[in-house]
Amino acid sequence: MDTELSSPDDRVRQISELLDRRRTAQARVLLSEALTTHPDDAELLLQGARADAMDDDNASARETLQRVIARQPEHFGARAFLLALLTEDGDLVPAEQLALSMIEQYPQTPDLYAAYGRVMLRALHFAKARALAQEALRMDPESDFALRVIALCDVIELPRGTDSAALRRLLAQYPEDRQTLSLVVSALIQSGDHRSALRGARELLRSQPNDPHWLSLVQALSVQNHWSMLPLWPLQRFGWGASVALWLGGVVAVRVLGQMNSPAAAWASWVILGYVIYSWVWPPLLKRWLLR
Amino acid sequence: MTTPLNPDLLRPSLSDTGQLAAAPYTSQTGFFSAFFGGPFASAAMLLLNAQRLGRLQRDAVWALVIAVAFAAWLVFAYTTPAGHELQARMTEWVGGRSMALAERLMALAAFGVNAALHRREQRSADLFGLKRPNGWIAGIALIVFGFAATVGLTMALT
Amino acid sequence: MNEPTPRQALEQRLLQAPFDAELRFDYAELLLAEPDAAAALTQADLLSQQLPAQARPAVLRARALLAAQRPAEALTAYTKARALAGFEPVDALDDLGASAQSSRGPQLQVVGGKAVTASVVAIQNVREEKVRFTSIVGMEALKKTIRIKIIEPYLNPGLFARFRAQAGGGILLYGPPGCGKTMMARAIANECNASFVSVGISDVLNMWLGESERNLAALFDKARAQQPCVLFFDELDALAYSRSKAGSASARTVVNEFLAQLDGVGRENKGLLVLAATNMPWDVDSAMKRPGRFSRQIFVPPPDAAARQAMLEIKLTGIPMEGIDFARMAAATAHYSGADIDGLIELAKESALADSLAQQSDRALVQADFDDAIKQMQPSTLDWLRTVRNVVKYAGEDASYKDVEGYLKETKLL
Repeated sequence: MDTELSSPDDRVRQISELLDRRRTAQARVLLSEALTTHPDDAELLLQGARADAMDDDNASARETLQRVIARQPEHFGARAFLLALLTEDGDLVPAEQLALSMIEQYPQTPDLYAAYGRVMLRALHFAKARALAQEALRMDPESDFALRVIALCDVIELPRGTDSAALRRLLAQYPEDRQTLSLVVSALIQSGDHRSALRGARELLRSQPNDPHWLSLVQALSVQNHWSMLPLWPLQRFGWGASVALWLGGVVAVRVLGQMNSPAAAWASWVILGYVIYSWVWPPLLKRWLLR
Repeated sequence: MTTPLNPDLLRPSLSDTGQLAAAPYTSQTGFFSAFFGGPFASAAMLLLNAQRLGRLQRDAVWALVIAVAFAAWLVFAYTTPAGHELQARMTEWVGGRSMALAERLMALAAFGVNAALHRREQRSADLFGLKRPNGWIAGIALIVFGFAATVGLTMALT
Repeated sequence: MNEPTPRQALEQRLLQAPFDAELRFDYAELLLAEPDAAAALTQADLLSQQLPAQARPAVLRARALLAAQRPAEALTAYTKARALAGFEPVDALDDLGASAQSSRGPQLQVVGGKAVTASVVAIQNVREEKVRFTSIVGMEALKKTIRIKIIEPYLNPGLFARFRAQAGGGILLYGPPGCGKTMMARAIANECNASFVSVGISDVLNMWLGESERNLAALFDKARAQQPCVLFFDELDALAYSRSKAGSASARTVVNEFLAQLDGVGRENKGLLVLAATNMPWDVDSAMKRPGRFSRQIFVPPPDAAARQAMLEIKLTGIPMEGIDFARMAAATAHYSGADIDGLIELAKESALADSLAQQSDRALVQADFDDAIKQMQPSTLDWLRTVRNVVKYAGEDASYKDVEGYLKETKLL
């Protein structure tokens, strides 16, 4: 079995495949060996930055990428990755500058427009984000990156219960893709359909059981979908509007019953008070019990 | 592939760090400020969030409308004969706390305006997991401010 | 007062400077020279953890395995060491490699196609170690399950056909790392009196350089040519990574080829048993777990109390001891893997050695040494078990983790 490899390209490929499979520890072993003989190889350093980002060390990843870009200012992969990291970290001003400089250099690359749209979305410039993503889609109708950005815009902007055409298209094209599923879960949560959101979140947790984000989401949705939370369904489904309606309904009911001199007025007051206390006290208690 | 048609899309929007939007206070903070603090608190919350989101220019008008509308209502209710008559009718229908009930309804309507104006920003903050500012201090401060402003104006008018 | 032996002197220095790698290397060399291969192996493992990217600890480990009469594992370790920084060849291990190469079957060739060069994947025919179920102490429930689901259908296909019981397809062994999945696969091969062809991560790494589909097809053909044969894929998640998570197109094409080969297994050969092992069953492509592929999944738990007791007794053979209650230690080491047991023994030994050196007199290992060591250690399998618990507890009904659910409930982790 021959594992001696002559070129950094072979190593890069192996390391990249290991990272695709989230085997960062094994990738780092190969990487450190390769970097001993080729310490300035841009592709190897890029893989190192990938490994750091996977281990949630964006700072080290960005530092490595800056190193690559300092030596090779035109390196597309390093710049694109840096743009993604800057966006994720919320450093939106440098992210915008980088996106614009890349678009100036590569005006025919639709994904760069979509990436810029992502920056704008993060900066809460919704109209511009959507326009950029749609521009990317116009340039390349098959661009799933552009579709994702548009789907994100839809989740944020569309009224409750409105379908997102972009999300539907993503689901049709990539039904098992985890990113698509996570968008669907977000959309379901926004629309108040927590039962379906829980099903989707469970699917995501099954595919990556050690992901703390999905674990906490499933735990939170499990609490909300517990049978003892059923009386709180209107509040979960309709949000603050339901709170206002319930408050107003309670006031009217107590007032009307009071005017009729009905003993039910007192009962109604106690029921309403009990419901309010239950809505505040029970969910955290249930969460502690379910997550013990 | 063709070149983009709209060159405005490629003008920088974030050239100054001060223009970056920060996460707004949560809807829960907004709701309870309005519920307990009244329309003035709700207007102040709208301004606070607008300032954080960089939407002050757009939303200040709405905050002003809310504050002026509520002040106008108080002036009408406490200083005009028609207002006194309306108060009497409301007391008849609803009972002794009719003005407080009306104030709360208006505050919740103001919260509705708040929620509608910042719906997308609130959703984005949830979606991107942005760190929200602590609502307790601001909420309590707004409730105290709203209550004091309402009581102060009412006392000045009566 | 007796002068300390060279070994004792080094042990004392190590206690004072436990992170001095050079010192530990010297200690390991001394142990190899004595020879105390098991102790040298433990030192090599510690050095590997300390210097994971360097070849020297890995080569030391290979030498210790060779001294412990485990040539197959020595060869595997030596091959892995080649890929690390600072590798320097060792004659004895090179010779071992050469003799193993000559005893292998023919190298794989590209099957069909033009006469172009292609990277080939060498297969290790490993029958040197005659591990059988009798060699594995404890784990009776698991062995019974494996016998019914794997070995008997393989040895008596007619019987199962009469009952129209499901046969064919592969079997996936999954569980926390270090709990004997590979050893179990080897034992299955020997119980089935079949050749054992193993594909590990280094073979997969080579496959990723290109021609992976051809190499995979050639590998299956090679195994078919050696029937009866057990074809074992270690770290299946590396080869058959979930296509919904994979970023690269190559990952998808490899999985597609793998599926095609598995679908052909039942038709083309009755004498080929395909086994796989993984620590991360959730990363294996879901199509791999459908009927006809790796639809049968068997959870390989950490060693049970009987197995742990046996391990402790075997590993402590020849070590001076007094009043050791093996049953009690086995009960106190729930969820420990084989490597954890080794670590426990080393900690206990260090404690006894420290006392011996401080008091300038030898003393045997006592129960208190182990009790203290158990307090300091946490089983390495707990992370994996907690991860799977998330799925079982929160991710709804999933029949593929029923075995684990039973284990978690039995051991009160759920």
